[in-house]
Amino acid sequence: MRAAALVFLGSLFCTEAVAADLTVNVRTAAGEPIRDAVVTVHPAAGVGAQPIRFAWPQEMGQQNLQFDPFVLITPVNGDVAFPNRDGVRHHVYSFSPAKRFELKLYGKGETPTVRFEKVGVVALGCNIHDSMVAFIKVVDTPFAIKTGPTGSVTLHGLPTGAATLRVWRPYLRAPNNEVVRQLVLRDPASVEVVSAELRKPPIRHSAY
Amino acid sequence: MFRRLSTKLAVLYAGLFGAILLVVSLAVYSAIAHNAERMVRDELQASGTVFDRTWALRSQELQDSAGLLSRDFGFRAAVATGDAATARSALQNLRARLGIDLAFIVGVDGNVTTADGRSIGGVGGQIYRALDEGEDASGVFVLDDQPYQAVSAPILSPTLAGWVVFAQRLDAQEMKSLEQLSAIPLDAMVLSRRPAGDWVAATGHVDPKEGGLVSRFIASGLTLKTRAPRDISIPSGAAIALVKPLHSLGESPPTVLMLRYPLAKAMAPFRPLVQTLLITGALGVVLVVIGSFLLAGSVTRPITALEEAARRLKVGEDATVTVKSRDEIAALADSFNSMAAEIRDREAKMLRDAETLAVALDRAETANRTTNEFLANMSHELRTPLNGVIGLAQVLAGLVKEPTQARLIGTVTDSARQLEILLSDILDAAKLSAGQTEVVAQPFSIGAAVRAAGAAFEGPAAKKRLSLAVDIPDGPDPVVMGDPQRLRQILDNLLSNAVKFTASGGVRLALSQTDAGGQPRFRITVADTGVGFDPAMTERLFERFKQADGSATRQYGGTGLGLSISRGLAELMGGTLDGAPRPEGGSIFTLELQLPLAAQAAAEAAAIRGVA
Repeated sequence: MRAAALVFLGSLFCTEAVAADLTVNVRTAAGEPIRDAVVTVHPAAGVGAQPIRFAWPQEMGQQNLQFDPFVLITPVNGDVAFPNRDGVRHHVYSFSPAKRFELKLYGKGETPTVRFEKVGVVALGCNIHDSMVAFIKVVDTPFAIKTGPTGSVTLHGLPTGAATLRVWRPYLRAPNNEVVRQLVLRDPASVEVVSAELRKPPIRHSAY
Repeated sequence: MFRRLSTKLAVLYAGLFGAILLVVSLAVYSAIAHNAERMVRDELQASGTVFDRTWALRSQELQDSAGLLSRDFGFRAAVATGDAATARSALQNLRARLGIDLAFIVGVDGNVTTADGRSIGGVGGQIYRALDEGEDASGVFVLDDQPYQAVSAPILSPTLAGWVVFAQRLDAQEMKSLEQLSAIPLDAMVLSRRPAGDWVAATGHVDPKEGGLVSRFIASGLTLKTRAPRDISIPSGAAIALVKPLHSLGESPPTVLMLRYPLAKAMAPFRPLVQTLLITGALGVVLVVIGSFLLAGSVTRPITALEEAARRLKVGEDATVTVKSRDEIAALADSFNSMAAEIRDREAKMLRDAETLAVALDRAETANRTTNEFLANMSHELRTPLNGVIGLAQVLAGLVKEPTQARLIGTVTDSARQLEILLSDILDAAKLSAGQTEVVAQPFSIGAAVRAAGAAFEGPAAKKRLSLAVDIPDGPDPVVMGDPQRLRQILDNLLSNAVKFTASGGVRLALSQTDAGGQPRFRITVADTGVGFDPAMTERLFERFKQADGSATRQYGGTGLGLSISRGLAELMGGTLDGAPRPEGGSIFTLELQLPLAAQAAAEAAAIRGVA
């Protein structure tokens, strides 16, 4: 993992002479950290034309009647595997405009793959198990990362200068579940604190 | 009130029977009523539970159907992609297949898509808010005064895209099926509260008037937690009602289910029993009246016979009673018969005795009269030779000069005079007894008469060294009508007795006058200081031939006729004569006479003549 990051950083250095770090702290007004928030940065200078690769596996597994992970960041045109690790069959679907698809009932050991051509949010459900809900965030920037239990993430090697910061999360109390912020990235590092509230999900699903 | 004994008994028996019947009937009826009421309460509770089960079951069925639809992939896809036509078609299919009254989709934006395209107006917004709250998206809502039982299921795609809502009408038919599930014929209805606050019966067979009463009942005492059946009053009588609040969907108006059972209905099965009881009771009363009349007759007939016999006995007829029975009345009749016989015997004996007595009395009276006549005649006959003896003795006394002879002749004269007095007394007494004595009424001065009588005894009193006081009131001496000779005879007798029985002291003669009712009443007393007498002997003094003491005659002489004659005369003159011993010694005799004044008598006589 560290090796992959170094390779990734190296490629950044090839294009930009100056690099900056951005630490984003996502939490509620009460100070509680918010996890599973997708932090993306679009530098005003652009992100280049190289295909985007992320360090985490492009996989949306199904185990114990839930999707794993709850939120997956996928580069545009990326392929995501849907391995079924449960003893029961699943019927994974999405009616999201970003990607409408249906993986009709498939059983354990089967791993269908879906390619996500459009940038956007894909809400995943299982037609058999309504408590299975997950989200795939299809992005067109390599500067994307998901918050963990601390609610705080750091993006490294960003080009300095103006950039757009987006923090998206399912059920975030904001238009399109997204907080958008314009900022100027400076060398060597910047810190952004994003404060937001969460809505109650319509059903109690396993990610909660 | 009831004069005849048989009526009294009949009324008594019938009254007792009626009272017992009433008590028994009341007890039976109240037991039945109590039981019926308890049954109704239990059954209402049970029906409430049945309703809960039915409600839950149907709710579950609806929920299942709604869930099934909301999970249908095609339906999800249609809702998620905004394909209203497909969604509506799916809704309509299921609605028709399952017989659901109302089916619609509420979008997350609040838009309502009904199966048949009809609008549900403001209710949609209400339901949307309830669903959006997400607390309990099922319950009752009211659309056009019609309550609906509604369930919802979220449409997930996989995020919330809306809700499927299925609703069933709570209508008369529903209530009917609920009523049919109950063991008792109760009335089921759903009431909803209108914005004005009054409750309106939305379903059930209630006329509006009754509905109004019911809503008033709810309004007055209903808390939505009421669970136990309550007593209410409806136009057709008392009823028991169970009110179950229904869960409202969101802000929908409150609704309640009311299970109501009129108590009159509960009593209906027992009506034949009560009727039978009443008819039997009435028959019983009639039988008791007849029976007690017969019984009372058998008791009173002998009593009447006895009463009849007693009446016969009273008038002296034959009074034998015949009683056939062998009870106490028969014993009484036997006693009565023997008593009647006894009375007859005694009466006969008494009659015989009375006859004997009358004969004896008659004989005695005749003898008495004969004696008196004889005495009167004899006295008269004796007087004539006695007068001869006295006259000749007086003649002899004039002729004889020799003292011894003169003394002997004096003795003859005294003896003859004494004999004459004796004869005179006997004659007077006999005349009085024979009723031959007459008194006259002539005017005389009473004071002068009394004074004269006193004066006559001055000599004899002086001879015995006794004082003689005559006390006549001062003032005019009234002239009265009476018999002065008889008065003088009485006073002579009293004064002679007084002088005779007094050894020392004196005699006092007094006259006093009182007026009683305009008539002057005179009291003449003769008091002495003599021997007196025993008070117990007072009445004996006035009997003929009696003196206070038998020995007195020997000591003082006299016939013992004086007082008897005096009293006889006093009574003949309309007065009284009494004697009494004086406490200080001696005796006092009191003569009371009521004598009219002569002037008054003359005036009255004149008046009578004048009138005549």
